[in-house]
Amino acid sequence: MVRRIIRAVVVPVALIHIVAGEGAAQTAEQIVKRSEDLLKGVSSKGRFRMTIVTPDYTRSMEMRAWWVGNQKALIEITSPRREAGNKTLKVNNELWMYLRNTETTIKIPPSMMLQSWNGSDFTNDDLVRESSLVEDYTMRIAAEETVDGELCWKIELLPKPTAPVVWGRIFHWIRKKDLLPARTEYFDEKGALMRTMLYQNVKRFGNRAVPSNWLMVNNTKPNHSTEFQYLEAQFDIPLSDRIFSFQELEKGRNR
Amino acid sequence: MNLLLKLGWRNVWRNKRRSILTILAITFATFFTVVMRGLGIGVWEYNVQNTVELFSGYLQVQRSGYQDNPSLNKSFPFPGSIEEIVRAEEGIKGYAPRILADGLISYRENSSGAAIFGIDPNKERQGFRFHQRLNGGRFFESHSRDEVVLGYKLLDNLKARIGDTLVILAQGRDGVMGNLRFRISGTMKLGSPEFDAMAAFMHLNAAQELLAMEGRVNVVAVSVVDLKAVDKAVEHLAGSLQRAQLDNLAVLPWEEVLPELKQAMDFDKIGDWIFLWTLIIIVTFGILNTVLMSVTERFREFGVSLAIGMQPKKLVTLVFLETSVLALIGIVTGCITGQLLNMYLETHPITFTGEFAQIYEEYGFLPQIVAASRITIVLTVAGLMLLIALLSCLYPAYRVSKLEPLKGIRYT
Repeated sequence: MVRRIIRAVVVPVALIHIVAGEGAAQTAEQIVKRSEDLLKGVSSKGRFRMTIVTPDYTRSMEMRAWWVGNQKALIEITSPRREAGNKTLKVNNELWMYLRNTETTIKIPPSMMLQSWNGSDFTNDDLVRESSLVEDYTMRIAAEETVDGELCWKIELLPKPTAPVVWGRIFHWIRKKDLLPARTEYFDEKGALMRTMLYQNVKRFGNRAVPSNWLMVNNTKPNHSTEFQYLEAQFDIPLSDRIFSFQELEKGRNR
Repeated sequence: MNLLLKLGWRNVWRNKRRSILTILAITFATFFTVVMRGLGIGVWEYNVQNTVELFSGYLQVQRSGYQDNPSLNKSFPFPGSIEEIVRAEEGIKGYAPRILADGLISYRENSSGAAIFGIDPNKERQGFRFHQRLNGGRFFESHSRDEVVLGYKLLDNLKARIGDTLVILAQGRDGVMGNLRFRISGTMKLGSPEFDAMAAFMHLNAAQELLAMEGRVNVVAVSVVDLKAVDKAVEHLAGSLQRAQLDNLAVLPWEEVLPELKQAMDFDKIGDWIFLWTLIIIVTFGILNTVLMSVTERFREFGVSLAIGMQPKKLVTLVFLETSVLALIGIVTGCITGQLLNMYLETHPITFTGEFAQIYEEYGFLPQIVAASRITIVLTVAGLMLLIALLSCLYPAYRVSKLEPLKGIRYT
């Protein structure tokens, strides 16, 4: 409730700032906010390939996904065949998995939130808590650096005291040219680097250009990484709420 | 020497009351120490034995590094040459191949994290006892591939009942999320929260299917006759595996498989030692007091002895002899009575009942007091007591050795 009030107050204020700050030097908040909006859009749908690399095996999965902001998401595995038809449904802070083999829907309990999502280096919690950086962190421009030949703002994000986040500090590099993210480093509360996220290969999908390769390197487990590769994407399309329902979750592959 | 012995013996009984009190003090201290060591070792061995025989095993064969960082990838093929080596090992009561993994159990709207144990019921019965802790239902048979036995709290948490069907989801060795249906055949109550609220036992082959572990296991738990046989078995088994070129496998004794148990045991032992040393210090001063008193009170006598030509050396020997007589009588009676009580408690353990028993059981201990009657306990305690008795007459002996005849005669 408190958070909702804060959001109700903060968001309009932030908007006023953005409008007022037009043309003037940009603040870290404005940069991060615009970058996030560019990346996500109001809604999206697409196909992507997830490649998991571990010292023991490397495997790829293809998926389809539907996304409405940060609130709702449905992800369906389309290959390999052993896992095809398994789905993940996210509605606000809750997560369900549909397993085609046993035709069951499982709600992921809080105790399992930190477990790996479909064997990747992402946890279930990452999907649920894919919260807005602007809401949970205070930020400042720390430096200007070059990442992959692109001049970037290096923005330091520190969690707000009351923010329900797991990171102690984040460094986020945003390209000055087009405000797309280039790299993110996540540190825990003790200051150790836990993950590095690399955004590469900017491609145009419909009306927007986004990085089409998202590589997450797990810095706590050597030689573990997960890569997302956009195959198709559409942004800001109307999506029916029915997509994010149990009926749809438990239906076969007929969309 | 003979004369000195006679003198010493008579001196001891010259002041009967004091000597008897000293003997009693030593007897009691010895008795108490023997019984305390006996109970300390007995209770712990009994608990350890009980714990390892329940599930973990006296020792385990694992892939090197599995203990510190368990993962499905650290597995090895079974059966095969490993089974032959383990089976050929002498003094082994039983062995059981197992798969251990984390998973998620779902029953209708409820789901819970679970510790999956893939086991072979026939092999488990040979060396382990956890299947006796059935709380309801029955254990699945060795041919059953679609039944699970859950911890009783896990069943409660899922709001399921015996006979219901549930789904278990787990990430396999190849990274694929496996999911299978199982029927609940029974529940277990093992007394530890990790098991009761987490454990899901299924057949080894079912676990292999769920986790893409065809023909592989994580652990072979081994049961031997008793704790004393562990070290030898570990060494021998490690040697056999080495000879068979299976050097990516490690043999771990229970202390390494269950470090928390070992730590708790060591911690308890420290408490025992502090208590023991307090007792020893008290006894030391008791003996010192008696000997010093008996020596100073006889300074005139010693002075006369010296004056008529007794060597001071002999007087010192006399003091040691007297103390040894006192100490030996006390130690022997203390050891005999202590050992008798230990032997009795070894065969007739005291069992608590009621609330006290429940508290014990909740912490995973048996509500029983058992003693160990080992000759090594008696010998170490006897040696220790003799040592402190002799140490405590060092100062009185020093006083005697420095005594001058005339000073002794005039000593009041």
